[in-house]
Amino acid sequence: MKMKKNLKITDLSHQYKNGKSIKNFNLEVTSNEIVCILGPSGSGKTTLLRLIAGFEDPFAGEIKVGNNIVFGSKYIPTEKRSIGMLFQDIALFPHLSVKNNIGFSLSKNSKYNSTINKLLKKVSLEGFADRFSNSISGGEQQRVALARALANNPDIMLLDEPFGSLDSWSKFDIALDIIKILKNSKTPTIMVSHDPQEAMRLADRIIVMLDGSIIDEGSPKELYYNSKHPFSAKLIGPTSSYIFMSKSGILNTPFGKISVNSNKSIKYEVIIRPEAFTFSRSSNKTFILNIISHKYLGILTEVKIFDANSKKNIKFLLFSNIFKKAISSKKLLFNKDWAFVFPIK
Amino acid sequence: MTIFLKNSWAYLSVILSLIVIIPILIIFLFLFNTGDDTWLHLKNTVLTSYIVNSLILLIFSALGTLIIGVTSAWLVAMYIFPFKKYIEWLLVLPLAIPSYALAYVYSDLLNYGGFLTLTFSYIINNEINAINFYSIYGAIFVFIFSLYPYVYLLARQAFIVQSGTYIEVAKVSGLNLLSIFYKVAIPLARPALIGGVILVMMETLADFGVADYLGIETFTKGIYKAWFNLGDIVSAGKLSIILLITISLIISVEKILRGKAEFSNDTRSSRNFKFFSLNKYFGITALIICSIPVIIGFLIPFATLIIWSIQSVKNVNLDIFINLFISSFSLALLASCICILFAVFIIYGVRTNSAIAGPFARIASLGYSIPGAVAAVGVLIPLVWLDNLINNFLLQYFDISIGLLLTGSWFALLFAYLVRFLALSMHSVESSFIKIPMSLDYVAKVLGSSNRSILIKVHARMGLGGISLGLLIVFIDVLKELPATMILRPFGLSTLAIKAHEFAMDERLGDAAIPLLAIVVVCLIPLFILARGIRQ
Repeated sequence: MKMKKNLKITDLSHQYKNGKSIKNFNLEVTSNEIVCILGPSGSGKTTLLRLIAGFEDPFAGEIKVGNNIVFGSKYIPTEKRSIGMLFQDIALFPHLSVKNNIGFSLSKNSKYNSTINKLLKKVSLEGFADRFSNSISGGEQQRVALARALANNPDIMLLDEPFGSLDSWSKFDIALDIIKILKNSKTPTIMVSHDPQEAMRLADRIIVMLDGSIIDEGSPKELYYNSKHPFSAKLIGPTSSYIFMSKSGILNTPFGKISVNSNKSIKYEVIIRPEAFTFSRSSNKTFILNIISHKYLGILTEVKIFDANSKKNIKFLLFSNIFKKAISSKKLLFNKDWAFVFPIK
Repeated sequence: MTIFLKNSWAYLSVILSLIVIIPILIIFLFLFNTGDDTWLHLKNTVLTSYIVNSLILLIFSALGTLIIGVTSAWLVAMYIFPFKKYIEWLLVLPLAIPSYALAYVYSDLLNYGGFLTLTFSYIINNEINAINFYSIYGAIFVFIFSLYPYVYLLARQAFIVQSGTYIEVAKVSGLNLLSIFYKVAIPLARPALIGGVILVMMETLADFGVADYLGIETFTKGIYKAWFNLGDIVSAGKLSIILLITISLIISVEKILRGKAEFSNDTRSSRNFKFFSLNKYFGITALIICSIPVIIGFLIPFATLIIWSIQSVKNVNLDIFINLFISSFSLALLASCICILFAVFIIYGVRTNSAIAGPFARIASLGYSIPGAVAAVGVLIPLVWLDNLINNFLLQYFDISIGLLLTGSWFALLFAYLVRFLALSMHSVESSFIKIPMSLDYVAKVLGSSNRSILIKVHARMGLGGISLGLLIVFIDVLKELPATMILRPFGLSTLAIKAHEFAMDERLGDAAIPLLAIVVVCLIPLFILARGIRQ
């Protein structure tokens, strides 16, 4: 097996005719790492993959695979970039059998059959060689596509929302299988997704993109505990979000006071995770629950209370088991470490 | 490799499109040519009759095909009547008979002692004179019964797609079927009906064989005469530009109307439609109404050609016939292969980069609206210029005169066919390539395939149906083609269509029958494929 290379993107910029763009994008992916680019539609995540693959050309910047520049001072076309790619619509060639799909890029030498058999074994599809794409399930098709992408032992693997077309109940099992195979083959992988759950489960590192730029980055745990942008805080996990004006460096929330760095009176967005609310009979730091209504959402409950300070109703999310305990005492403890505070510019 | 090379297929597509666009552009240059005495003579003598005759032909052919095409389409789309499943596809068969063959057949059958004249005399028990078929009425009759399938096919499709909900809404609103036809079905199907009529108009304007045989002065015939009888390419060019502008106007009007009526193509609300059953008498009436165009447009001419062929088979010089067959087939095969190669490369180039290649491909695909005679003139002008350039060069430097090298060669003829028929093969290839998802191209690319390899391994195989159909359609159209072949054919070369036309012009209709029958039989192949589609 050849040594897998790193991918390095430096100051990459691209613009479509409709004005959407990627600005000064930088990224480095090391061998054996699964990086997920997470973002809403139009954030530029798929464009980024197309730029790496060479389907589109940036107007500035550099893309480097290992020590080879594929875009920048040199130009290497798609077919010579040593890339593997999985697509949402799977894209198996309908006129070719499973075997011929996997062998599409292989030369028909003496090793042809044994290579295909090894790949079929790798994706647990022995016995499928002569089947056609219309006679196998979506998950099996995606595994054939993976075997085909791995056939040439690519330096980097690009996954363009590859599990989007799969059934929701089997999606994660198939996805975890595929990620395991990629990990075992030590292929650096960039996966694009708009599904935070998928990103949290599958990726070593998540990069959150918005309007063509990286707004947050880190391991799933880092992003959950320490979001650096209100968008990523709300994207990764459930939250309740409010806007408050600071007075003398203090935000007076219905749950308790939060201190901020600046003494100026400015608006802040306060984003609170459900973990912020716990139950305590003894603590004197509790706040009173003037419950108006509540809605059971499974593991979480959405509660609507009356805030006497602002004289407004406000909603927040907390764990259902906590709510169950608090419903009689009508008191909750607020832990401000689970609140992210962002000044509004 | 540079980014420029990455787009090499798109640039190839542009170059191939330009090869086809140049003759079309050259025709437009005649707008700025004032013309000479011959043009003035033509303008003062025959131009008015060209305009009047062509307009009469256009209007009445359009009306006639609209009435027959829409009526038969409505009946087969809405009702159940005896033999409907056969009539439904038999109605397209007149497309297999070239219009000029219909003219030869009916001019004979309606002549003194002709079969139809005698039959009518027998029916009314009174001798009737021959019907003068050598007139503009004869030509209108021919165009209506040979071209109505264009309207029928599009109208039938439109009625089938629209039906369901709209008709049920109209029914619960209290409309009877006749009112539904006028108030709902026709307005909704308008874009399709106009599309069909436009095709009829373009075929009518492009015709040479019918006008020449029946002695009607039309533009296409005028272009042929200007070049062949008067040797005046400027007049031929100026007549061509008038014809081209007329066609452009018709297409523009159609586009405006279609643009406004686009909502009627909305099929979201369509669903399976329950056919209406007709009682015995209405059923037989519907059968008769739908049978008439089949009998006139296909059965009578086809049977006549068979009878004539049997009668004249003893006169056939087998060597000459085989030669005709070989030359026609080789020309058609060569032309269709060239067209399909151009089409595949152009469409694939557009697929690799539509921003670069798309606009040129769209202009190149306008060629089908150009009549054969105009395409011939467009090709002739640059080739004559090139020939003169080569000849003068050789004469000046080597004292050799080679005359006209390219003009009157197979090259010139094939070039004209390319200009005229490329659009047909492009549409066919495009409709099959469009079904191949772009992700397959991307997969093949990241797997290391070059554009050439993707074309061979993916598109040529997955798009084989469209490529074969494009090949077949052009093959058949070249086989039937008359004006461009007559203007540009090399000395001594004849085709089945030309020979049939020459025999017919000499009133040797029996001898014309065998080459015509050969054409009709070959034309029936794609129509049977189409018919199978209709039956399914």
